[in-house]
Amino acid sequence: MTRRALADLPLEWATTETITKLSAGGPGLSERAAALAAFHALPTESNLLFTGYVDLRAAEVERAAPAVLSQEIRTLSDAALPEGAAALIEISSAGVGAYIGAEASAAGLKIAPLNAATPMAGAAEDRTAALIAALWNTGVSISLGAGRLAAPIVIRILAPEVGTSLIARIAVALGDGAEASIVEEINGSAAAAGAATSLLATSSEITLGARASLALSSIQDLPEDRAYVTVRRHTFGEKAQLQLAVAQVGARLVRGRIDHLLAGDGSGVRQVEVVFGAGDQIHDLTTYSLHSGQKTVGDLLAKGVFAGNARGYIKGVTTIPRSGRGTNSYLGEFGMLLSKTARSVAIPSLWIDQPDCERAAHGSSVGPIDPAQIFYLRSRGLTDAEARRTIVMGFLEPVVAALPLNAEAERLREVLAAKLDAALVKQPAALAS
Amino acid sequence: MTVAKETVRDEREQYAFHDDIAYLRETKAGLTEATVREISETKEEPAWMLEYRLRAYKHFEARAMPMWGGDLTKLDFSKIVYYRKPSEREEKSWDDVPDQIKKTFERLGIPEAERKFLSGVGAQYDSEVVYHSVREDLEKLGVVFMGTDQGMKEYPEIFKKYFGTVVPAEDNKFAALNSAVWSGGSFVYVPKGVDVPLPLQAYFRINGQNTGQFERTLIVVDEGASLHYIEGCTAPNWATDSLHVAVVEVIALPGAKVRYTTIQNWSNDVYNLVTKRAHAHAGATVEWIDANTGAQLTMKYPGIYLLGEKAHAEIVSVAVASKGQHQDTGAKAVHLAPNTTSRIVGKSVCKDGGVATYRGTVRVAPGATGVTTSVRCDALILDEGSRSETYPYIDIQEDDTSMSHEATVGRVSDDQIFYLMSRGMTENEATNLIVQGFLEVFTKELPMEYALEFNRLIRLEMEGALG
Repeated sequence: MTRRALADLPLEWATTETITKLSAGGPGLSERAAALAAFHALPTESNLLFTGYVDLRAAEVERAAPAVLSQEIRTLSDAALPEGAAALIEISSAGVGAYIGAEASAAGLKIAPLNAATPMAGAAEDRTAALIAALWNTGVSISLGAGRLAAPIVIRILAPEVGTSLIARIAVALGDGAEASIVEEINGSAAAAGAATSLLATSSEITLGARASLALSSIQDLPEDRAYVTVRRHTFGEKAQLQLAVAQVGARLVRGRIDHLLAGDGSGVRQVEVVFGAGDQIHDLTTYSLHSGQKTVGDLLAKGVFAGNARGYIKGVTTIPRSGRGTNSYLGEFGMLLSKTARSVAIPSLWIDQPDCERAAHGSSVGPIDPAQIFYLRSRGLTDAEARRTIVMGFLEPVVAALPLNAEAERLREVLAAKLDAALVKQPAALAS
Repeated sequence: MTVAKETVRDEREQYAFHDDIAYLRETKAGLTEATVREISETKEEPAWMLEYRLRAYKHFEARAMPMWGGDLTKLDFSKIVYYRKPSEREEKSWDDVPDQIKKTFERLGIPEAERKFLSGVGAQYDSEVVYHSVREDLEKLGVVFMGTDQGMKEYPEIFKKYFGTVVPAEDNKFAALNSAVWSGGSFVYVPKGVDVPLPLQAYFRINGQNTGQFERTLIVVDEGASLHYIEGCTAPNWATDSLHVAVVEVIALPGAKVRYTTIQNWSNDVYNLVTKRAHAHAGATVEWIDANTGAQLTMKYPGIYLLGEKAHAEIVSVAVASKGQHQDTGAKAVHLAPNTTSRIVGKSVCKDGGVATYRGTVRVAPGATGVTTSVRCDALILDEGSRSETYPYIDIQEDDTSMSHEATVGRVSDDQIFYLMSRGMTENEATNLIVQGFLEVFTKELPMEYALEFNRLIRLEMEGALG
C-alpha cells in the first residue's frame, strides 16, 4: 500500500458515473460535472498560507459512495417536533423529512427539496465545496420571505452508517427584514472505534436579505469514527445580521470552512466557535471574512481545548478591500492544551487595503491551566479533577453563553462536561492530592 | 513668506551616486557551475568549500522558486553579475584602501563613525570586503572581526565548526544561492567572557549595475561573552535590478548575549532576499533589531532557535513600504528547550501604494516546557492603495506554554493630527511625529547616533506622504 500524502483524499466514487446516477436523468448534471472537474483540478488547500496545516489521512472513505436518495421531502409526524421549535427538518441516509408547526406555517416558512440545478457558489475555488456540489445526494431549501419567526427551526443531521457517505446541501434564504433562528444538531449512533470510514459532508448556503437577521447555532457531536467536512457561505444584504455559534466536539476528523461575504453596507456577523478535541481528533477550521461593504462588523471568537493527541488548526483570513470603509473587525483565537501530546495551531491573518477602518485587529493566546487557579479552587475544597473541570468550563463559558438559545447552551455544557470528564480521567493530575 | 518645510532635505541623493570603477575581476552575467568554480578559484579556497558551493548550486538549480511572499517573476538570475572584485585585498588601514572606494565610504561617513563610537568597522564593496579594523585592546583580548573569506583562512577550526550549521545550504532557494556564490561578509568571534563594549559595524555597498551581493556573515559569541553588531546597506539607483542575497548565522553559546542591528536602506531596485538565523544556547540571549526601509522587495524573517534551557529571544522588526516597494518581513522563534522565552514586536508602515507584510512564526516543540512567548504586530496604513498583510503562525505543542499574540492595523487618526496641528505643526510634521512614535519601539533600541539617523530616514520616507 502506498503511503498517503497529508492532503490526499482518495475517493473512488468521485466519477462521472456517480454524478450521472445522482442526477437520475434530471437537471443539474452539467453543474455537477463542472464541480467534479473542479474537485479533481483543485488542491485540497488552495490557500498557500495554510498548506502546511492539512491532514486528511484519518478519513478512509475511498469506497464510502453516497447512495442515490429520494429527493422528495417526507412529512414527519407532529409528535417529532421538539418542544418550543417552530419546525423540524431531519437529514439522514433516508433523505429529508420535515414538519412545519402552525406558527411557522402562518409566518410563511417554506421547506422544499433543493432545485437540482441550483449552482453552488464557491465550488470553483474550494475543493470541499466542489466535492459537495458534485456529489450531493440530498438537499433542502429553507426560506422565509418576510416576517419574524420567534421559535427556532431545528435541523437534525444524522451521520451516515459506517462505510457510506451522506452529502447534504442546505440552502437558507431570508427575505428583506425577515428574522429567524436555526438550531443544527449533528449526531450519529456510535459504531466501532478506529479510522473514519464514513463521511458526512454538508453545506450551509445562507442568503440574508436587507435587514434580515438570523441566529444559527450548530452543535456537532458525531461519533469519533466519522469524517466531517463542511462549508458555510453567508451572503449579507444591507444591514443584515448573523449570529453564528458553532461547537465542534465530535468526529475523528473535521475540516470546515466558513465564508462571510459582508457585501451589504452596515451588515454584521458575530461568530463564536468552541472546539474540543481529545483522543486522536483533528479539527481543521478556517474562517474567511470579506468586508466589501461599508461599515460592516465582524466579531469572531474561537476557543479551543485540546486533550490527548488532539490537534487543532484554527485559521482565519480577514480581508478589508478598498470598498470596505469604516470596517470594524476582530478575530480572536484562543487555545488551551490539556496534554503534552496535544497541539494547537492558530493562524489569524489580516489582509487590509483600506486605511479608513474603525478596527482591524486580531488576538490569540495559548496557555495551560493556571496552577494558581487550581491551588485556589482546591483551597476551597474542590478536588483536583473538579478544579480542572471548573477552569476549563470557565474558559469555554463565554463562548457557550453566546449561543442564541438557552436550551442549546445547556445541552452544549452537558456535552462538553461529559467529554471533559472523559479527557481528565485519561490525564494524570499535575498536582497530586 | 516662505517657511522652510521641516529641516528635512532629501539626502538620499548622497547615496545614489555610483563609481565607474575598473574591477580587478568579474564573472560574466549569469550563473553556471563554471561561475561557481571561478569564484572559488579566484579566492583560492580549500577543496571542501568548492564542494560545498557545488552541492549548494545543484540544490539552487533543482529548487523551485517560492510561491509565497513577494513577486519574484521579474527576477532574472541570468542578468545578474555574481562576482565583482573591486580591490586586491582586505585592508586594515584606511589609508591603504584604494582611493576611489575610500572616497565612496568617506561620503557615506564611515571612518568618521568609527572614530566616534564603534569598536570596529568593516566595509564591503560589491563582492569583496575592502576594509576591516577592530580596536586594538579588543584584538588583544582575542576578538576577531574580519571578512568571512579571511576568517575561513585564518580561523579554519572555528569556521568549519560553525559554517552552515545554522542555515544549511538546502534551507531554502536563496540560502542555496548564497551558499553557492557567497563572497565577503563578516566573520566575528568573541572569546569566552569578553564583553565588547561598543558596537562593531559592517557597511555594505552595492556599486555596480546588476550586481549580486552575496555576503555571508558568521558570528560566534562564546560562553558568557557579549556583542552588538550593526550593519547598514546602501546602493545607487541603477533602475535595473540588483540582487542582495545574504545569509547570516549567529551562534550564541551558553550565557552569551548578542544583538544584531540592521538598517536596510537599499535603493528601490534591489531584491533583498535574506536568511538570518541564530542559535541561542542555554541562558543565551539573541536580539535581532531589524529595520527595512529600502529595496523593491524584501523577504526577510530573522529567526532564533532556542536550543538551550532559559535562552531568550527578542526580535524587533520594523518596515516602511513606499511606492513600488513590498516589505515582506517578520520573525521566527522556535522553542526547542524548556523555560525559554521570546518576545516579538513587528511594526510596519505602508504608503503610496506600498505593501507591508508581517509573516511570523512561533513554534513550541514537544519537550520545550515552561515556555513564555509574546507577539505583537501593528501596522499603519497611511493612504488608500497601500496594503497591509499579517500572517502569524502560532504552533504550540506543549501544554504549559504561555503564548499571547496581538495585532492591530489602522491609520493615523484625525484626532491625533488635529491635536498636533493645533499646536502649530503642519500636517506633514504631525504625521512624521506620529509615525516616529509608532516606530519608537525600534529606535529606542538603537545607539543614539543611529536613532537620530533612523528618524531622519523616516522623515525622508514620510516627505510628502500627505498630499
